[in-house]
Amino acid sequence: MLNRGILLVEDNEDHEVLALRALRKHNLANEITVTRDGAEALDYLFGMGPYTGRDTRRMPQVVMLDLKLPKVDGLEVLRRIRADERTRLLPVVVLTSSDEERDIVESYSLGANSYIRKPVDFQQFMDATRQLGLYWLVLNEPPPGR
Amino acid sequence: MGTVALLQVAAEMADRLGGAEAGDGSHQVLRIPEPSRLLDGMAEGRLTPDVVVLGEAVPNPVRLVRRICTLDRHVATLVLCPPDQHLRVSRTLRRAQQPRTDVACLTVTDVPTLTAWVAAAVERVQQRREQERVGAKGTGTDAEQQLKFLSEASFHLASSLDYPTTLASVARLAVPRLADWCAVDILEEAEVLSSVAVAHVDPSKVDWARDLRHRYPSRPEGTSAVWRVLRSGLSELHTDVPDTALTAAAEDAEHLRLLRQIGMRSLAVVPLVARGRTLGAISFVSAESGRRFGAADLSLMEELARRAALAVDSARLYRDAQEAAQHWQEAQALQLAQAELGLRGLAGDHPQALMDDAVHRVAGALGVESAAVLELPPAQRAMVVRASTGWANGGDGTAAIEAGIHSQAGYTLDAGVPVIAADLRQETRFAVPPQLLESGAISSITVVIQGRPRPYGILAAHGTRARPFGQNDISMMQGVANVLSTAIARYRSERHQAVQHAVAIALAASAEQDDTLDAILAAVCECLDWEVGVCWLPEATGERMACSRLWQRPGHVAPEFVAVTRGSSFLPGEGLPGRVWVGGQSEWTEDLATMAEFKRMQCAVRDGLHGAFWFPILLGGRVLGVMEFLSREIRWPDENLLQTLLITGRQIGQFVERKRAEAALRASEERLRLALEAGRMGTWEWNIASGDVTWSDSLEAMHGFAPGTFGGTFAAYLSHVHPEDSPLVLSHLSEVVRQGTDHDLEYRVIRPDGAVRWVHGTGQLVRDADGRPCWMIGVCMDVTDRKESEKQVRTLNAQLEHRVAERTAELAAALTELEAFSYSVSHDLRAPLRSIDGFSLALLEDCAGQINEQGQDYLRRIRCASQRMAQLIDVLLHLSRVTRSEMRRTAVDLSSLVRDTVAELQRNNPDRRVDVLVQDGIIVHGDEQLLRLAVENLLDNAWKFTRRRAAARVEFGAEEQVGRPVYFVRDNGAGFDMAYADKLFVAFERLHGAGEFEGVGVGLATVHRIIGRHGGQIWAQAAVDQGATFYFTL
Repeated sequence: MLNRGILLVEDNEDHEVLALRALRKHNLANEITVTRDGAEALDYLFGMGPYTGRDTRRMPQVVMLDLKLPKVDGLEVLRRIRADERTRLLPVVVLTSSDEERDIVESYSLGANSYIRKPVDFQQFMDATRQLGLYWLVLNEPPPGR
Repeated sequence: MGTVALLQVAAEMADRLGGAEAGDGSHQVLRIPEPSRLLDGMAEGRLTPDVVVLGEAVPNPVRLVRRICTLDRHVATLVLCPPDQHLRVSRTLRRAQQPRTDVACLTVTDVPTLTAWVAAAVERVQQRREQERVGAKGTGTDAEQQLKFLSEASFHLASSLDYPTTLASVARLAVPRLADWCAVDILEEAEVLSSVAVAHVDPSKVDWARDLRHRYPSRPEGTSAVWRVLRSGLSELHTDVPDTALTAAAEDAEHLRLLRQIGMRSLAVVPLVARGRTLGAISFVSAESGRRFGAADLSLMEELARRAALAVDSARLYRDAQEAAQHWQEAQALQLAQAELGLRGLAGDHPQALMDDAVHRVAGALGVESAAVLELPPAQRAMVVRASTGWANGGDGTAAIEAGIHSQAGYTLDAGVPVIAADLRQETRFAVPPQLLESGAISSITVVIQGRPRPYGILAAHGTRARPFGQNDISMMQGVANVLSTAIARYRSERHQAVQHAVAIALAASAEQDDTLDAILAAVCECLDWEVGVCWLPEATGERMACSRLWQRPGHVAPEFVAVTRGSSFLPGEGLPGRVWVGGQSEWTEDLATMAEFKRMQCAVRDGLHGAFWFPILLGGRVLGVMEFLSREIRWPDENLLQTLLITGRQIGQFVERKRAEAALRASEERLRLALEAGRMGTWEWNIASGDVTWSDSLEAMHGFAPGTFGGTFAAYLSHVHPEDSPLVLSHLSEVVRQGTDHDLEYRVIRPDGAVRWVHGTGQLVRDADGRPCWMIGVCMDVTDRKESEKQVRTLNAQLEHRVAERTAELAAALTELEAFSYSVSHDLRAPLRSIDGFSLALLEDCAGQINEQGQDYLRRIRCASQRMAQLIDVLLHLSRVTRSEMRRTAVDLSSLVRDTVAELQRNNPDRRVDVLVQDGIIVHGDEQLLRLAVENLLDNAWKFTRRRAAARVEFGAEEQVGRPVYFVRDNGAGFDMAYADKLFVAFERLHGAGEFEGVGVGLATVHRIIGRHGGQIWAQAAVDQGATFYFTL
């Protein structure tokens, strides 16, 4: 169950480091894939580009998606995930600095499973990450047929 | 063959005496014109008439009779005289004829008696001549003596129609020749016996006998011989009168004694029978003489009785005839009076003249001293003397007399039949005024003068002696009353018609209002005999009613009243005109003297005016004016007249209204014309069938035509329409006619000078009886200026819209930029802060051993600063969002918002005890989200700054200030110094140290922006430690 891993889509290296550190601290980082932009994230998920040949049947247990991304932004990534039959039911947690209402509304309307605002206080982020991992990786029953 | 000489006898009478009536021509008739011829003829023996008849015209008949008798002692003379002289002549004759000769005096009217007398006289004279011829002179035979007696009796009987006198003579003649006593009794009427004569040789015994008969009158039911004879009509002869008979006849001992005293030996009673009727009886008694009556005596007595009966009958016939004639004459006089009055009435004489005449005729015909016509006023008022004769107060119409129901007049009106008082002193049916008795009135007769709808009054006659009034009198009075009644009714009816006619003519003439009103006032006054007429109309302001027109009869002078009236005006309800103005009802008074409360009316009284009435000029239920009429007499309009004048009032009302409407119409037309000119409008008419088109002057002017130069046809009209618009106009108009819709179209026309004008035509169809459109009438307006204005407005609007679009685009761009900035801030400024904080934490956690305590403190400060900055960024974004967010205004229950917020605060701070007071039902119009934010901020502050209060108190409510609602949040917290009030709503400004009360200083700035976005204001009132109150409007 735990070996199915997390896909972290994050362009900010600082935040990536801090996120991985937080996940590790809570022993949730047994398999964490990090992509730097939306395009790479999509390549990874659908086994294209650098990830050609990846076993696309092995999907991460949850995608942690930043919205503000180079190339293809987070909302577009989310739209594509929901548009594809293979990833239609993939749990996606939006993890972003923005608390703009329109971002929140759009995320949920595109099928985000959760929306978490990255707090500046890292301790809070740590707590949030812990709860997040616990929920999506441990408690949540993934959709059948994967 | 006898001879009758007629001396100066009128031809008609002569014919009758000489004709068949006189006895089958058994005697010769000589007509002698001169007394001298008769006397000469007789003296010379040429004329030996048996009877000489002296005509009425013969002078000195008594002397002539004496000379005739001297010339021939057997001749019989008959003097004819008029009835009224009969008594005198017959008396003179009786005195003059001593010894008595065969002379009679008869009235010319009694022809049967005359002829009978003449015939009998001829017979008598011839017998006398025969007796003389046979030489039987002096003593004569019994038969001769009987004949002589009868002849003498006949002479007496014929001498006069006064039968009591003649019968007395006959009775005297019978004693002592036939009997010692002779008594004549006549039946005056059934069962009443009158003793007309008692004779005895000794006159002193006559009185004794009369006394006896008086004391013991013979009664019909008694046993007296007289009554037996009267009943049977047969004579009774008692040759002997035994004492037993006296005893049987006597009523008592005294009577018997008296009867015995007579010494009656023999008794005969013979009836007086004429024309089969028993008129009485003659009693013959033999006493002192000791004679016994025999059959021969009875025969003579009967002969005497027969002749006496004829005389009585004749006299009675004559008397009856005389009475009948008298009665007839009286009745004729009464009927004549009545008939003459009736003729005057028919001739249409004024009722007043008729009444004046009537009272005189009635008084004359009845032979009474006074008569009067009394008019009955409406209701129970004093009657007015309209005409009178023999009255103290005259009939000039200004005297009134009390005539209540207790008077004879009232009684008569009540009874409805003529009322006769034979003697007013004995009257019990009604009260007799003492003045009447004092004036000497004793008898009276009153009849009703009928009228409609109620009696006109009473016709009364009073006499100064007690007397009954006969049926003729009553008939005459009633007849006169009826003549008056008819004449009055007809006169009134004629007058009413005359008024209506005159008013109708005045109204129809439709002259100026003043002239018409004058004509109506004059017509009413002249037709109805009123002296002054006034028309009251409201003044221009409508508040008062003033004398508009006044008419007075020429020659009648009422200077004071006229002057006062012309200067008078009344408020509604004030004075009599004002009263009618308000009440809308007619008013009248028979005498203004009773209206002391009206000063103007007292002027009228001083000017000799009495009766007056007022009626309203009506239009529907509205009183447009009041008509006033005054009379010099005490009088009142009758009900019919009031009815007539009410109609007249309505006619005048319509006239006045029509005049007003005409004036209004003229003014309105003038205004319309001015309006059409000013508004560059005109009216038109289009006869759809004929194609004729009529334009008003203003419409021609609008189209650039001189007045009267427009063609007047539909084609001409269409030719002036702009060629581009004429198809539209044509199709539109045909559509209007076909569909029956209203015409309403704007199009262009071309003026003769080539100028193009926009016009707006509107019109409506007029349909004929079958519903087919036949006319169209409408208005046309020049709208060129408007069209140009509209064009300008459209251009300006387009420019404005363009400008607005540019500005909107600019604003939109600015907003987009602002949003991008906010977005960027929220992401990009926060990201480094997260790194700073995150790595500082990582350092603290992962490298704690390598960093000393001071280093670790620095790292914690770095973390604090970065978090503080993140907080500031959030607040800044929040504030900007308040400004940017879209407003959605709805009804918002502020009281509810406050309560929710307080509940939330209480939940978050369960240990706080705050006394919160919220006014209910404060509902405003605004954006609920923003208002919630504002309320949250305000309450948050109040909650926060009362933290140190033991008895914290927060209040929300609304109050009115300067006419608008002002909402407030009040607390009893720390308050602030008003010196810093200007910094209160500036973002990031704080009046309290962060150590004292937490916060970043944007709460009130946010509230300020929210209130600002609602177009409201916010301000505060506070003092340090005195709490604060935040007021806001929306």
